[in-house]
Amino acid sequence: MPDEPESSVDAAAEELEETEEGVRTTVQRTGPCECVIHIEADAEHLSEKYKEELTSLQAEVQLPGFRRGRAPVGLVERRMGSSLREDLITTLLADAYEEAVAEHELRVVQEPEGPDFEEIDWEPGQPLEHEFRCDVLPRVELQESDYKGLEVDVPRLEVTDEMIEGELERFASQFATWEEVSDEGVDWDDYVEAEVSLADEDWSEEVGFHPRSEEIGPFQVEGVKGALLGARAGDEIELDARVDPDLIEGEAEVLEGLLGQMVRIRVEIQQVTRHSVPEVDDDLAAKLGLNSADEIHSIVNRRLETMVEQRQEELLDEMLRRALVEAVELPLPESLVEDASQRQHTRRLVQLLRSGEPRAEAEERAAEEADMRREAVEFSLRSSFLLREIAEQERILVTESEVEEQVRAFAAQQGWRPEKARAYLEEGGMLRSLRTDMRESKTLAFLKENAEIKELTPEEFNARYGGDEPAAAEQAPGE
Amino acid sequence: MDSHQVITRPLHTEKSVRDMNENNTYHFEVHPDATKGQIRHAIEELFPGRTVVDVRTLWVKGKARRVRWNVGRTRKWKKAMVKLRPGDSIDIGY
Repeated sequence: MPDEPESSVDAAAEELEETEEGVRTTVQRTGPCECVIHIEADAEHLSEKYKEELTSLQAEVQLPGFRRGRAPVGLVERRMGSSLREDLITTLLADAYEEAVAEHELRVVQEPEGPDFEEIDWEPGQPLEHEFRCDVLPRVELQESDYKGLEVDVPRLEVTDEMIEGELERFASQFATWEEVSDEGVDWDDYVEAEVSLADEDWSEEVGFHPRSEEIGPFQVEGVKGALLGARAGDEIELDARVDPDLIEGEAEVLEGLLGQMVRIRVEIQQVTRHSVPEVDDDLAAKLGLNSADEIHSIVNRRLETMVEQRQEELLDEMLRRALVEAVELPLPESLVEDASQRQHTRRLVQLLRSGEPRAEAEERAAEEADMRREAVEFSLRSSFLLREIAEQERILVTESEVEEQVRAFAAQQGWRPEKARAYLEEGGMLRSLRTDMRESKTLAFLKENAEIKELTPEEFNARYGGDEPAAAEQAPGE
Repeated sequence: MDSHQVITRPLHTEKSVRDMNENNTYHFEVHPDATKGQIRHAIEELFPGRTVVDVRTLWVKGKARRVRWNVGRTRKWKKAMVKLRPGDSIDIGY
């Protein structure tokens, strides 16, 4: 059949060519993740197409002074020729491109930009040539031995006394209260209520502050530690302080004239309160409606055990990903890595700026972390790509009922109806990410079943992997 | 009057296209004060080598236009139909 595309593969040159109705497409791999799609169209074929398009346009178009379809072809061409030519070329190139991508099963990372008509100056009667450069995912042929029987080490994490102590402290701190301190001096984390006045002016105000902040009312005080710590309620202290315009609340005419200047202030301490964390004992248990302190201990223990289990699972997943990435060499398209790194860079910069870091320092710090971030991006892309390949090879799929189950769980968490949760996830494109995550989890579970997992003590694990370990094995869960 | 002032624009309508194809006659909008002689001269000057064998002119009446209760008219304009010697032609873009 003349209309069917013919394709032939020149393996030596890695070029694939096909001919259809005067359009020739050549796909050439210029690197493991790069290819060039070269498209050529005959002058005769193009002119014929152009004429056809023009005739059909002329039959439909209505110009002033003419009834529909009565305007002469020449006039239609003069009025609409350039946009018609652009449409024709765009369609022809897009069709040829899509056909080449489908025919050669190219997995294009980013669609190339459309033709630039300032460069393509095609006139009827001329042939056309155009090239699309694209970044593609590499072809990977995985052997079963690449991912079955992976040898991974994982630390055997246990709940330690230190972790229990820390968790109990965190638990108790939820029920902490502020209590007045009368027999001790001011400490760094206390809350002080005082009357502040200017030594040389007629101005005073009642303020509350934390010594740690080094801000007392509208004043910025350097060296507050030495002067204030240890003082008690009723004491009067004099300090040198700077009037900070950002700290002034309400109207203060006296201070207006002193903005940014050093002044002598008098602080008369009225009350000192301290954060008091209760003991984990039977009294606290009774307040919470529990029988005894043992019940609190067992709640905290169960929570820690769950967290440790989760942490261990996460570490195992991480180690499996590492083993997989080390086992299979996989080049990545530069544009993909670059884009993802850039996104991470921007996110980090925003995070630093929001935490109050000055712009110059935030930019410097984000730039310093660039290499590390790029490495993390490459690892994440490689492992995700390999997991997808394995899922396809092993036919690991996520069924709609499994997705539905997750959606229901999410809906229950939010207190929504399942339909609302589904619509929300679909709208934000999160349903697709959910499917991908679920497929990755299933693939990791498959890898676990087929892996040789060796449990080590946290010390052995840290000795073997050192600081290179993805997350320190001794890190307290939940932190 | 300058030739460019005499000939305002060529007309592209079904009627003008038919007249052009069948009678070698071209339609133009012309200056309201232009005479047939001036039109003939202007065409021969603007399109050298062509010979005008006949010029007919007419006034196109303005159309009634109403904006709410105000009735007005579009402007009236002068049309010229210029017949060329057989074999001569003017490139008016198509």
